[in-house]
Amino acid sequence: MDAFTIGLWSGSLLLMAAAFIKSRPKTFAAMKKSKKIMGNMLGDFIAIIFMIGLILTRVPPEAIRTFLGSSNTEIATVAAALAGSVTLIPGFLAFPLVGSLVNAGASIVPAVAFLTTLTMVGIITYPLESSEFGARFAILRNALGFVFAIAIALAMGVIL
Amino acid sequence: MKLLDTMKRNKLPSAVALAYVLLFAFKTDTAFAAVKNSAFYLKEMMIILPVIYMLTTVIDVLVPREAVIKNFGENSGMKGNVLALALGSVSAGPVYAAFPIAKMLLQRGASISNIVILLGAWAVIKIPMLANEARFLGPKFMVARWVLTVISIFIMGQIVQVFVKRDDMPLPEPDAEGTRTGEGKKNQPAR
Repeated sequence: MDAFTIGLWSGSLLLMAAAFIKSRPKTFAAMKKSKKIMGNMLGDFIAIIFMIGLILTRVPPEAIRTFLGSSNTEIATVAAALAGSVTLIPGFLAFPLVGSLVNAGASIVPAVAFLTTLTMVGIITYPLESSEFGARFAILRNALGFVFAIAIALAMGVIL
Repeated sequence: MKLLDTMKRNKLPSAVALAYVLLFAFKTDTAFAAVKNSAFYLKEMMIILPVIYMLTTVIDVLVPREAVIKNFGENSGMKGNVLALALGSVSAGPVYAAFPIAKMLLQRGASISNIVILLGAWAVIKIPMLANEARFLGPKFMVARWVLTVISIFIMGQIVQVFVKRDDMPLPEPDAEGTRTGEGKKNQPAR
């Protein structure tokens, strides 16, 4: 565990202790309520994880490199944004991958589009988001995430 | 029929389970590789899930409804947005881990724009990740993307707030003083 995660754990444990000190029955009731909220999502969490594993075997990070390095920037940007939307690669894999590409001279616009949709748009998590927050919310949030990811990418191309 | 009902209620898990069964039957190698790939994410989630559980609980006990409304509610303004951003930024784990916390805050009166900001920040802005980004792509790249992302998330929050109302969301009735009352009992028809 990294220091950051340890910090989160310690902070949460302290807050839990404070909650118990404040009111035991209230805390037990709240624990039940959280369990109910999370219980509904747990099956989907696990399903999402196994789906990521499956997608990563079909679309390995190296394949994404081809997308991002394409010479046609417009097409590459949209393709990269789409690739980022359906995959969920951890940052410690994505940053070195994109970094090596950009350092090799590839345009940063597709690279940024990919990095941003990777986290801002989640096709895989859409079913869960939709059932928990409603379809309207989930569709709008993800669609806007996609549009803004491309806007961010274009702006980065101008700035840097 | 009971199995069919369960599957209907859990569409995603059922679909994924089915995909794996087929894969194990026909392409065993790929199936094993996929399980191996999944293990990393499974571990990441197992580490963070108890934290989410504790935080969701703590919000319910320690943060009064009025405080959520005041700081995250419809009238919390810029302060609420910044607070939602800060809360999302000191997070860990995948964005869907934020769903329980977001839901608890919504139930306690947070505004939709702040929930969008919280989820956006949770997904994109992570302190350990920013360090990683600066290392591989340079500090200038990282800062520029951070600033643009924050602006985007704020605008997204405002847009979603305009088009999505609380009625569009599957939320239980707002709990008046409700942490103690089992809302489950209230909503379910008597058997």
